[in-house]
Amino acid sequence: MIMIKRLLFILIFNIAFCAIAQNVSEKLFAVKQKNNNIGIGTIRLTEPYLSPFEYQGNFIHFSQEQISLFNPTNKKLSYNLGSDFKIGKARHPNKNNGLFLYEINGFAGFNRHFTIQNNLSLLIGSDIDLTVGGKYMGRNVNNPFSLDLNSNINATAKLFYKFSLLDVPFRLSYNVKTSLLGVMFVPLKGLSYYEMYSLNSWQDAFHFSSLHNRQMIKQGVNIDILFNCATFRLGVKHQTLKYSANDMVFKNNQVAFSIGTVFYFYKFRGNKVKNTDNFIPAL
Amino acid sequence: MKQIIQIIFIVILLFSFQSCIMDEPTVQPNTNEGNFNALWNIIDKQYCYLDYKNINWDKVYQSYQPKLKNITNQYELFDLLSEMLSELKDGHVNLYSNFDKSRYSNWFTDYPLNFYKDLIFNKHYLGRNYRIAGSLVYKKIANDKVGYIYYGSFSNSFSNSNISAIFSQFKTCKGLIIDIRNNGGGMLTNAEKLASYFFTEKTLTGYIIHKTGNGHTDFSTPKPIYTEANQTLQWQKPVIILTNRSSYSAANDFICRMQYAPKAVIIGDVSGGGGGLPMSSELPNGWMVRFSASPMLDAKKQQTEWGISPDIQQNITDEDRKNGYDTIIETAINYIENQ
Repeated sequence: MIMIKRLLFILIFNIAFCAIAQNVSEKLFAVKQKNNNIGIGTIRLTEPYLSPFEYQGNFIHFSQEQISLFNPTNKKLSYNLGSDFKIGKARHPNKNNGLFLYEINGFAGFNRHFTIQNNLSLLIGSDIDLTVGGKYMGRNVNNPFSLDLNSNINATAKLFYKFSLLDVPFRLSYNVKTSLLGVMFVPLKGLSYYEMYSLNSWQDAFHFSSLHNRQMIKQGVNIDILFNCATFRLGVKHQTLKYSANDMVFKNNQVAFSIGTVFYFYKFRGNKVKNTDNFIPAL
Repeated sequence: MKQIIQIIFIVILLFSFQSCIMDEPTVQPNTNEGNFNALWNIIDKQYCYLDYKNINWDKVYQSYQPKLKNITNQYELFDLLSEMLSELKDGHVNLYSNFDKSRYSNWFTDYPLNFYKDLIFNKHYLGRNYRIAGSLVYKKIANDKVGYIYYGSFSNSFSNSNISAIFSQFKTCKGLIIDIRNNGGGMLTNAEKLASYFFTEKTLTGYIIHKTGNGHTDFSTPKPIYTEANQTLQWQKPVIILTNRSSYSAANDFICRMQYAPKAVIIGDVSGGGGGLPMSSELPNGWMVRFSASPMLDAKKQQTEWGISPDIQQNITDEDRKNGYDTIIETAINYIENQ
């Protein structure tokens, strides 16, 4: 009797254990796809608070972006986060004056996936971003610095195409982003930063922005080369930005080239699960 | 999918339609005419005293523009543009090139000097054994009854501990003299900071306005400027501010604040003025122009551009100078001793 009870206990235990193991092996994991880039670019900008003329120059930039599915069981919805840092210098058309510039941009958004064909997918979405930057022109008196501060809701679209060449898998992507609405900091031309910061006078400095006074398109083409050990990315980005407030028109057009890497990762807790088929990337 | 494509098409259409709304300003070419027009337009749209000074800027254009045809090189162009800017009669207006800087100095050259370095550094005043705290030169004078500070430029900073040391040195004095003659200005924050030691409570001491448009009278409502009392150091004995026509810009702002300090008296000549906070712009050839952009007013909303009158008008007499005395300092000493 005791033996039968023991056998019964072991049987029930094993059945239960197998059931749990089955659940673990059926669990799906949303893998993050993260890419880091470094690059150089050229810039043409008009910053009327500092100078009425178009300055041209160069910059270096560092960017990172990650994309992941919200739910690995639903391959149609993903989120992405990213940031970009630029630093550079631009010169007056007559080459006898210059300004320094820097910019930090961070964004968070979501994408809806559409599979057009087996190797062609389209992601349509939206993101919200925040840009903090500045331009410094040392020889200006009382207005040597112009702050860039804006936040926007943007519409985004990404197209991905996978193909192989000489047995090497490639992924070609095109992405585009445009501002829809937001808020931006543009003080009056005659309003000094002394008055703003020392006297707390911020009147007419913040503006609602939409397509009527801010037009921005950021586009990029990337080619990912998928090797066994890693994925390398080559990219080119283009930005056209024009905005106006307080009778001033600002422009900021950029072209940048970059190289980078793409990694897929997932954070584990507890025991490692080895079944790689359950790891679902967004792309 | 079809709907998405339609939405994208509408956004692109909206984009291209809206792009014609943002009219860009005309950028002048890098020619003599272009640089002249650029400078004239910058002053026309951004200089803040055209209306206050009754300057007919259109007439200035008509007077100077015909002279352009005689210009043969950049030096002549610079001189012509400098001459045009001198019509503004403003020490805050300068044109900068890589070979020269234009300036208008009649705001002090047309008046008595009223300051001689050899006088303030002679045996009667600072002599050789003065002390320097931060950027403040100081010593007890008049048989140690009066504390004397010379402050040469508001571009130079000082700290709370510098002021504490000076006040500590002068604690047995009947009064204090702060000499800001020939102080051409500098940082407004230093003017505000120095004034704060002579107030016992937050006091309205002025206003500032800025241009809100391109018209000569497009200004904001005046924004009040207060001088806060320093919380740890307050001089509560008489303080005399010495001024001359070369007390300009931030020095003028300091005088404007000190007018309202409880125990302050201004002695000397009318200050040089320079009440407009300057800003900068550029010409097509890269030359920089500095100009007054934001007028600063006193607490009664009166302009300070032409200077602030002293409470006691005093010039240095030739006789006193010959005898090694600075009449303005002596007037201040007598005032303090009679309190």
